Amino acid sequence: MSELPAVAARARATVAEVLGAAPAAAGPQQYLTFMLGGEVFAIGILAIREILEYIAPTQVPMMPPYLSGVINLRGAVVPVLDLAIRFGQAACAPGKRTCIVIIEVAAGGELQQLGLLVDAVNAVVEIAPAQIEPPPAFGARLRPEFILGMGMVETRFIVLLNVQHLLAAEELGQMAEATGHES
Amino acid sequence: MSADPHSAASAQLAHPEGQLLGAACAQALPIWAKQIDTARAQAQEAVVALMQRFGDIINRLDVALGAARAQTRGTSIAEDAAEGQRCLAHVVEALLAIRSSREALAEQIRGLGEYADELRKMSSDVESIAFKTNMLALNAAIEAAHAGDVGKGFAVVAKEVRELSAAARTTGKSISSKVGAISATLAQIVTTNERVAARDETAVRESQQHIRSVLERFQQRTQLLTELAERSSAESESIKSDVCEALVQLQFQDRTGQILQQVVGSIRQAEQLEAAAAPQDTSGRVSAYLQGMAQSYTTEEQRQNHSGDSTASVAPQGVTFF
Repeated sequence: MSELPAVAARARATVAEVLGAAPAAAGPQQYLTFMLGGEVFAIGILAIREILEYIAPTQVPMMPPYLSGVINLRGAVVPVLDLAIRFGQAACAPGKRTCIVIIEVAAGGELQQLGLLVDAVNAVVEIAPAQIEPPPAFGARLRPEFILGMGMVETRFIVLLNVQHLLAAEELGQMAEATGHES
Repeated sequence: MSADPHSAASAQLAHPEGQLLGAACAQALPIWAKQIDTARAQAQEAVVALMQRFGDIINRLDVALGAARAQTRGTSIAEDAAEGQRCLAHVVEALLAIRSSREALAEQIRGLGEYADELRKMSSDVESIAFKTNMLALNAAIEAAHAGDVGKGFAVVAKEVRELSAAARTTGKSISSKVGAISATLAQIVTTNERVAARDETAVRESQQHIRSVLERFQQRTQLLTELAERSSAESESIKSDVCEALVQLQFQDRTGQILQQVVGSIRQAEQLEAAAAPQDTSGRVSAYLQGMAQSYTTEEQRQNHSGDSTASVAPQGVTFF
């Protein structure tokens, strides 16, 4: 049990590393690929805490539409973000393979847990920094700050999401207050 | 027969007072006797022929009646019809047995369909387990990544588990599709079976009705035929009895033959009487002749005629003809 804080600290350090300017010398990083609206996206695996089977979030009044509600994750209240709505698509319709990906984002010097609704999770892939292209300057359907880069996996590009920017800093700060984050 | 003109002429001479009549009689008597004899013989011949004809008719009627009786009794048409009905019942029974075995088959196929449903549920369970295993493997990979270098070995295990779960999912999917194909085939078999069964039942019912109606008509005809046969046989019977009676009536020939024979005999005797003509004791000889005549009678009518009672009808005296 005494090791857990140490592991967490290391994890957080790695997250900070990933979120910050990735060192060019670093080896291939692992990404989790998932489906959303028929397209494949990926998130750096170190930003992910865990994957849950879909459970219906509890609706909370006054929440923005891209937040589906909150779930109870081992006693902690975790807001769930409907990525589809955030990306300007129709709301995610929960299916047999719908999952909630729990990520950690920095919010006011703290790590805030956030759930992401995805249609299905695929696999863990390794992508070398050399295979990551910068986001296209135009023609992208997503806001540029959401995109970390375009990762090449088996001859096709996958959108690597910048989870840190999925929610604006102030939104995250409000959320941290609203959910009574452990601190 | 032995009448000759000489004897007639001598009789003429002997009795001059009854000369003309006597002479005529003497000449005519043999001729009369012959004529009567001829008439009698012809009548007899005709009557015998007639009786033979009637006898033939009776025989033929007997044969016909016998045949009719054989037809109405024994293996009659009505019995054939009844046999037909029994055969129909057997056929219907066999068809019903076929139907019930078909239903049993359909029931078994439906049972198979239930198994198929269970299999489908099981294969979807396999897929669900594969999904959960995949989640587990991904979470393990995440944990391994967080552990850094220490977690590298664990990451390999997680990857293997994930591949296994993918294989399980593929297997589950192929089981699902195969089970789906089996279910579809079974459903088709059940539908086809039901359709064929319905068609069979209609066919059975229709043929049952057809055969029944044919048998009914057949029976009606048979009834009619039997009635006709009975009526004609009754008619034949009455005709036969009428002919028999006529046959009995025809036996008058016996009586007339006897009477005519006696008359012919008497005429011949009368000729001899004339031939042995002796003028003396005439009245004595005539009465002796008449007496002889009376003795030669065989029927009551002759006697009555002789004694002068002119009655045409025969007194019922229980005469039996044969």
